[in-house]
Amino acid sequence: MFAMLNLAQWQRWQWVAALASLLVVMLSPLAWIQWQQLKLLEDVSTNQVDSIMWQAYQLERELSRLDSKLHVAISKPEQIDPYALSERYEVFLSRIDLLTQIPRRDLIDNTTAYADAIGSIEAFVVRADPLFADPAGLIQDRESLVALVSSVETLLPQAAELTREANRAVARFVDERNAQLQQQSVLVITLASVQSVVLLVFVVVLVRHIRRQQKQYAQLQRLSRELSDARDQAEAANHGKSVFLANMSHEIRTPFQGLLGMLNLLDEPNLTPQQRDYLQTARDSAMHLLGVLNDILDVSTMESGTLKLSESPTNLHNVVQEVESLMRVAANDKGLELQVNAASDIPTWVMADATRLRQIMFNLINNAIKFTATGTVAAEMSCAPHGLPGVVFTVRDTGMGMDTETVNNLFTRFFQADNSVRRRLGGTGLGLEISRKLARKMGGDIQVSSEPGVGSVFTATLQLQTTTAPATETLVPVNTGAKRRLKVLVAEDHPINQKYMSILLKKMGHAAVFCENGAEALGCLAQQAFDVVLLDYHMPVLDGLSTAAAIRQLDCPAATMPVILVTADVLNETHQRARDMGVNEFVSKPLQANDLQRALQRCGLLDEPSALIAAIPALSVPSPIQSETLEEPVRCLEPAESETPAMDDIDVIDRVAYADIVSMLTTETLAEMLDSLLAPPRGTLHALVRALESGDRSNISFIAHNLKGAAMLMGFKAIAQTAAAIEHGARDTQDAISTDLVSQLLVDLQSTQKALRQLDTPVSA
Amino acid sequence: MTTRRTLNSALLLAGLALSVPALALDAPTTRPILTVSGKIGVKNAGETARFDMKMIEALPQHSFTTSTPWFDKPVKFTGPLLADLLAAVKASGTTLSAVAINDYKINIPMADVQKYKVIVARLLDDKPMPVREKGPLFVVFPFDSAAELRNSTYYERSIWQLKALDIQ
Repeated sequence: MFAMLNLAQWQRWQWVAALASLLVVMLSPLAWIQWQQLKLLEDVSTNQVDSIMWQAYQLERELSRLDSKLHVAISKPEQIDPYALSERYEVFLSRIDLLTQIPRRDLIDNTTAYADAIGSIEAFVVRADPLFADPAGLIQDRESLVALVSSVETLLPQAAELTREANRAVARFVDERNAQLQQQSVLVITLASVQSVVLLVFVVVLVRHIRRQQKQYAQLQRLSRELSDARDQAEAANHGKSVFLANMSHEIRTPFQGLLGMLNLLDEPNLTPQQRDYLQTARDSAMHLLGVLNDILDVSTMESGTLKLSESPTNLHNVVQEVESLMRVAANDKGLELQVNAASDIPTWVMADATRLRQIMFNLINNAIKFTATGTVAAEMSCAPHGLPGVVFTVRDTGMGMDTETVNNLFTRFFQADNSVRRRLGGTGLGLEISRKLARKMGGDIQVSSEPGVGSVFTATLQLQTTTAPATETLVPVNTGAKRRLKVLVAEDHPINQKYMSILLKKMGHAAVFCENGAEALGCLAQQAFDVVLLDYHMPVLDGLSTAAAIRQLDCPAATMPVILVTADVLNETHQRARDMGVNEFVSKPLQANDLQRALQRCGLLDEPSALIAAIPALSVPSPIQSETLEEPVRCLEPAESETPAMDDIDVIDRVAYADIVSMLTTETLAEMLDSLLAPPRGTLHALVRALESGDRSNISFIAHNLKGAAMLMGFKAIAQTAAAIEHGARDTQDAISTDLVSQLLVDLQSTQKALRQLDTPVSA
Repeated sequence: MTTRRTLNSALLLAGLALSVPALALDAPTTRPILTVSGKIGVKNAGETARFDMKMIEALPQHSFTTSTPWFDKPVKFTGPLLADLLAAVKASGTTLSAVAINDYKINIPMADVQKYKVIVARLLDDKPMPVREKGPLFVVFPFDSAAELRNSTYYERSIWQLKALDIQ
């Protein structure tokens, strides 16, 4: 029954009604009993019930007094005042009515004692009245007096009995009243018990209700805790996925660089056409794979929400030109006509992330070329119609076109128009999704309209703020060849890296000052003025991030100078943290000229980029599909530290990387660097062997790290891997360093030296 | 209370001044039915003042109808105010000791006399009361006019067959 009472759903009026009716039910019986008792008391006070006995007694008494008066009248008639005798009789008479007219005479008037006494008294009065009418005569009439006395004396016992009866009547009345009171008491007790029970039931209902609510509350809390745990787990898993993806792409791209370099080296004039075809196919496949990796990295960055556009003043006309020149090759290869136009009224300078803008344009044009067999691909950059802000980039093709269903699914992940097309043309299916997300990030979108067999039109609207040309822009026409000479402070602890960077910066036309750690860098900044600071991420005494933070805390103009961090870490999270610490830009390790050039540009330190890049000899990996490398240059050489060194199948030297180094250095400098790394007894490699023999873990870890960095820079992959394994063993585990690693290191040394001898003549030429 | 008493005294004096010729209470001409003794200023029989029915009738008459414990239904009582009667003898005490023919005796505080319209009834339902019907004089409180009167204290003070008053 109570289960049906859902108290939680009661309205206020229902509560009021319930309480009111409960009160009425509980209180009205009590009120009724109180009313009864009040009436009883009133009755007692107005009716003077107990006076019955008093009146009966008074009647009896007055009868006695009349009797004695009559006796006196008989014995001493001369002493009696006739009026007094009559008065005595009258007083007696007055007592009769007082008893018979009393309001509660019903208590006795049905008893025999009453009937007898009152009957006899009335008979007596009938006889006595005429006699007392003449009291003087009566006194003289002795005979009548004697008769009256005899009558009175027969009345006396009856009157006495009446008194006793009255007493009993009052007692009966009191009993009756007591019984009523008892009855009412029982009623009150019963009612009180019933009320207690009702109250108890009410309390039970309430308690159950409260318990149920508490239980529900606890369940809700548990559920919310579980949900929050699940969310944390999901977030951790997602984060893990991002890290995994970033690491994987990192790991895969490193050997890829080697693969591509090897393929390029194979491309010699004396190949047969068949060999050349095989080589081209292998190269295309490798480049395609690299593109897939870059797409996946982009998607994972977008999903983790860490994708940031780095906007800077960008020349739209230049961007269009670049895109056209890069895509023209692909279009020509397929025999397509490519038209790329920039409307004359588009703004020259806009705030945009040039890399991402190019990525969108490449993607749309690349798609159009891919899906068009014959005809034209026409791309145009124009102003947004109807005076809206921003620009519109339209790509029209005369390709196969798409039906409505295909258009609707076009931006879905991994969707491709046709499986057969996919097999034929390749691609991850991520490109359009990435482009649309980028466009949306830029405050725009990508629309598509298509007709099967006729062609498709892709329209990207982009909200790009018009801006004024950067201050240095005016220098471009006059000073194309004259580079701005920057004064650069480099904090880098490893001598080989120092040397490399010194050469690189010199080639780029900048002056460099070197120091070994962050603390020294701060000292240099206090003494001289610099245009920019390059900080290595890993440094003794004060690392890159702490140094950046310390620079921002300085109390001199240097506090606002551009800071570029040199790091092998590609994770966006690290970048975000570094930006929070005050880092402006990043370049990957090992440092490449293009990367550094762009970073300097983004810091606002350099002018028009194209002229300068051209001035620097091939420092980046040559690539047949330039669009890919332009967006996501192949970067890291660092091998996985956990990888076991299985040397037989791996190249000892990364020939491309080594070629880069050699191309930059004089023979003298190269020899010096090789000596500082490999020559006994002072070479870093031999220092590591000695440290391994001595067993000082922190020293081993430090030297192994240095050897790893230097070997990577030089492209000595075998040594770098072994050094990484040693560093890992010394730093991250408590195990003893295997002696195999020492001998491995010496084997690597020999094989590297051997490889160097083989390379010597052709590469340096 | 003092003020009130003073006021009453003043009224009494005024009344006396108006009835100067009858200052001395006449002696009863018929059989006396009420004797007033004690602290009184006017006497007509030694140290007491005696009244016959004619003298009672001569005082200003008042009447009211009330229910009582002694009659089935409300009845009408008529007679002079006890206060007027006391004024007539210049009574000055605080308590009246009332005695009935059957020797019933009860004390009535003088305050009652001033506070309530207490009458010395000589007529019951406009008829004289013989002794057998609680006559000839019956001190009655106006029970119906105040709830506090309806209890045994005032029922006891309602003395019938009144024959004497002693002022203390």
